[in-house]
Amino acid sequence: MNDLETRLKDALHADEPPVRDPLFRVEVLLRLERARFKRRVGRALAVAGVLAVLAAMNVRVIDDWVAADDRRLWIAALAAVATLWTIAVVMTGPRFRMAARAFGRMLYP
Amino acid sequence: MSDDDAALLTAVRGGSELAFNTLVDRHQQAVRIFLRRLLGNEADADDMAQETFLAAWTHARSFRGEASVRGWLCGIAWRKAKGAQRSWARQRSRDTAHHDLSMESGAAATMEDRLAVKRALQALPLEQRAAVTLCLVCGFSHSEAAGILGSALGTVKSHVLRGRERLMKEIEKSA
Repeated sequence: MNDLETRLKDALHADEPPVRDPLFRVEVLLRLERARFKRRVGRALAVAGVLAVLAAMNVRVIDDWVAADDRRLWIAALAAVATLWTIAVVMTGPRFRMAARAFGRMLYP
Repeated sequence: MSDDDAALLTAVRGGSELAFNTLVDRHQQAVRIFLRRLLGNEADADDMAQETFLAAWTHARSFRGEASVRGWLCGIAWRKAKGAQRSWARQRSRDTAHHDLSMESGAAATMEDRLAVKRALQALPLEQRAAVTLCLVCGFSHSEAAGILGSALGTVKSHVLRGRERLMKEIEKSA
């Protein structure tokens, strides 16, 4: 290998990132968490939106349907629980967990 | 593909974050070097490298084992770079090319050589730059590079040969 080839090789391999770079890995994992959070929030909002629109469009029908039979109240309650569960899915996202952890540290330092 | 990489990717497909961490650790350097030489900007390159690993996590099932895991990752990076070519071509400024060259000691190449090679690389057409980087910097064979770029083997060989000549000329001039 002559001098020019050596210089080319050195120049091409200059400023290479390190073999192990934990900071880079953390950045990738952060992006992964962010993407998951966005997906989760998007899904939850879509479901909640559809439910809200359906409920708003059929308020009278739902009211009459529940009033016709007391047992139907249980079904309405189950629907409400499902809605709350949807909201809970959002709350298990990483940002909410981080805030909850910070609050916990504040209470029990 | 090494057995280790095969096992890792199977675990990644199954949703193992630990395996994904190892995959990132093992291949981040190659992907980042490839993108740094291709884009000519460290920040953009590292950003795109992160996106590449994110895509690898999401599409792990699309790996068919025809190439090495490293080659597959570089293929994802190549497609991302090609897609973003227009936007980063506008941002690229040759006047500020030296800003990305680290002044850290330990590098065997002189600043003049590094700048000359960087400028010459950026002057090459994108596909030729990618072929040169894959073969001369990342250590892929011509056929592996052809697979990654989705080009004919002869095209890659010609790209590498001509690109190398051009870089050598620039190095010679910078002396």
